Amino acid sequence: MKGRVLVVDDDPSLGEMLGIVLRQEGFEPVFVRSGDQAIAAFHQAKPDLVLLDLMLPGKDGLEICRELRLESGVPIVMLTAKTDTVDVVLGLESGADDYITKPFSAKELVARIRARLRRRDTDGAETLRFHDIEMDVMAHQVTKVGKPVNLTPLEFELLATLARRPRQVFTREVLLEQVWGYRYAGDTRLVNVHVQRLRAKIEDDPENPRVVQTVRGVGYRIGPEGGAVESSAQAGDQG
Amino acid sequence: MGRFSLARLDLRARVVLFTSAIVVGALLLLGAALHALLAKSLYSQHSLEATNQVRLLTAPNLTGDVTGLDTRQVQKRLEERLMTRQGGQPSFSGLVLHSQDGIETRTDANLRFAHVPAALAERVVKGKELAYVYIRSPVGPGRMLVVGAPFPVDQSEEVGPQYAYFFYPLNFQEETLAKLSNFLLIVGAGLLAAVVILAAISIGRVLKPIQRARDVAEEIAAGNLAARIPQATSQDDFGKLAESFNRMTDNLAQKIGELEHVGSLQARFVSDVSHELRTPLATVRMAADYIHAARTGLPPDAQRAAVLLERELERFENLLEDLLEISRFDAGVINLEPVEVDLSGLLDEVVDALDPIAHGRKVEVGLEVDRSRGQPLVAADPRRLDRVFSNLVKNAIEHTEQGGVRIWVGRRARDVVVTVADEGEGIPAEDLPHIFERFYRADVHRARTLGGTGLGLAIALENVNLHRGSIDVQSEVGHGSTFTVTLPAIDPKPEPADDQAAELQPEPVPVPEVAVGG
Repeated sequence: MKGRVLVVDDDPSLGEMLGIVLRQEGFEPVFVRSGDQAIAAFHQAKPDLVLLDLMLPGKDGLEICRELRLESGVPIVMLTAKTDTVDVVLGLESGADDYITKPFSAKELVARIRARLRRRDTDGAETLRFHDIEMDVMAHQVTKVGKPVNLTPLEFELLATLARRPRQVFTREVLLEQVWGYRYAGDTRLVNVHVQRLRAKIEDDPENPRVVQTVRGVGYRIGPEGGAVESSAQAGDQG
Repeated sequence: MGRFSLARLDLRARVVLFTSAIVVGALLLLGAALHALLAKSLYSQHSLEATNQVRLLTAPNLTGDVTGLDTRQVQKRLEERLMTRQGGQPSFSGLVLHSQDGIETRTDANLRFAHVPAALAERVVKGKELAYVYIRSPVGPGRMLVVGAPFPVDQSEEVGPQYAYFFYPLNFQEETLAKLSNFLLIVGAGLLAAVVILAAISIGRVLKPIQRARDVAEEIAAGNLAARIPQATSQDDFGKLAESFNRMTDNLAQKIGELEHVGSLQARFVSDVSHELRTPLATVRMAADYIHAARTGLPPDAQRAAVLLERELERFENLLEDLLEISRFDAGVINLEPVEVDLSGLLDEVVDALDPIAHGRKVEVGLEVDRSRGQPLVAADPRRLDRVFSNLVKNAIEHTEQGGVRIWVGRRARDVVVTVADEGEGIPAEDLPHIFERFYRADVHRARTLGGTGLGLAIALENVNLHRGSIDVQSEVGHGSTFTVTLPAIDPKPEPADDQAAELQPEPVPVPEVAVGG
């Protein structure tokens, strides 16, 4: 798999080592050492994925994340040295798709990058319609009441996964496996934060979501259409 | 009232009680003295007047006047004379004339010679002189004064010597004394009431600043270090106390502030060390992975070195994680964000995850969930509890050479209890108190097959404490060990009547406004 990865990290040794690992795995790494140059480097290199250290001299990782998200849905994987709740959640809320905690193994890193670069093979033209939303899976396009909605690839995949089996409840663990590619238990906060981001874009009232609904204690599902909400007898049944 | 119960009264009541006791004592003494003094002067005045009167009535000059008269006439004249003397003078209510022969003449039918005490009659008859005595009144309540004196009569008469006994009632004196006593009682009670009220008011005034100080102290104890006693303007003892108290609180607040500063510095330090160590470690880790993966091309010793590097790096990472975790506990920077956790599910996952290790050591791990007394629900951070029980179960597996590990979970009173019992070699009694200490190894000779860091149980203890629970161990050498974790149980939230309510529950995570290009 060929992919250009922009590595934003101020530590030269780590950067070099990341380069060795990425090249060995067939990626094409591009490096930038300072936060101030990250956006310019992004424009120049047009990477398929950004590997972003949260703590940087100059502009910090969260700020870069927010700026990148203003113009692009490029997959962003954060490198963080902090496992504290606040840092990870802040990073995810700033728009990062996934995160990886230092120290990590080469295998872990590559698995996370691969998961984000993987494109689902879709058989032919698939169009999903639910509520007032239409998803063209092939073209990776979403419209709400006919107007286009910009989703990141991750958000698109999250919504498509839920929409392919409407009304079925997906646990966070299942979503972590199907959308993020975690085979073992991942961090369920990834799901929570990204569902919130998705709702902000597709719900009429994100505070009172009707499309992506929370089933308390179980997970999420695409809610039934119309005002009346039916029984959620399928809770816990994920196929 | 004993000392013990007195000491239990509050200060104000004690002072008032004490003051009252002293006042009552003083009033009683004073009253008694006053009463005695007045009584003495009243009675002595009266007896003096009475004896004078008797002396006058029985004076010899009267005898002169009555020469040649018979007894009846004398008596009549005496009566006349007495009539003129009535009023102003003490008045006797009865007179008894008693002759040697036992002939008795009386002015009041109820007052007879029989009422005259024998001792008095004897003194009058033998001594031929005036004498008096107090007797109990034969005609009413109270007492009477009886004054006896020889009565002068004509020696020629056949009647023989006569003696007169005058009965003086003491009603006036006794009534006066009774009135006086009542008056003293009323004045005493009034004084006592005034003293009690004054004492209560003044002790209240004295205590008020102390109570204010107590309120401030309690406020400080409740955590408000900024509380101070309002500066007293007076330079009395209390003013000085307030000053010292405030100075002490200032010092305390300053010290606590410094400690908090040190704490936050340490937390910051831990966070910095964490970041600074993790970045180079990430490089080392990837380099080691790389060399390890490429080791087939290396000479045998270098190959072995690559394997050792990889393995020990793993241990190093675990140790670093544990050290940082302990540091975070020490710095007090860990905040628990509890959610409802069903321990049976959590333990199930723990057992599943450790299955490869158990299988490798041929140890059976059994989980028993007892729901007879309710669901094993706790409010907890599931990752932390996962860590606690993974550690305990892993230890149990590691310590079991043959046999099984039994896990039990269920409710006990207001708690959820988890026991992890192994059939291992057990822990010697001398090691038992130390096993939750950091880096304490009960069995230094045992092979470290699973590569523990020596911090596992210390972290487990911290995590359980964080959840307001407790962890205990019982062990017998040769029969295995049982670890018991007790956590406060919570009751399940009432299930919504239908699923509608449960479904539409927004999560409270704020979402920044982001417009994203596809």
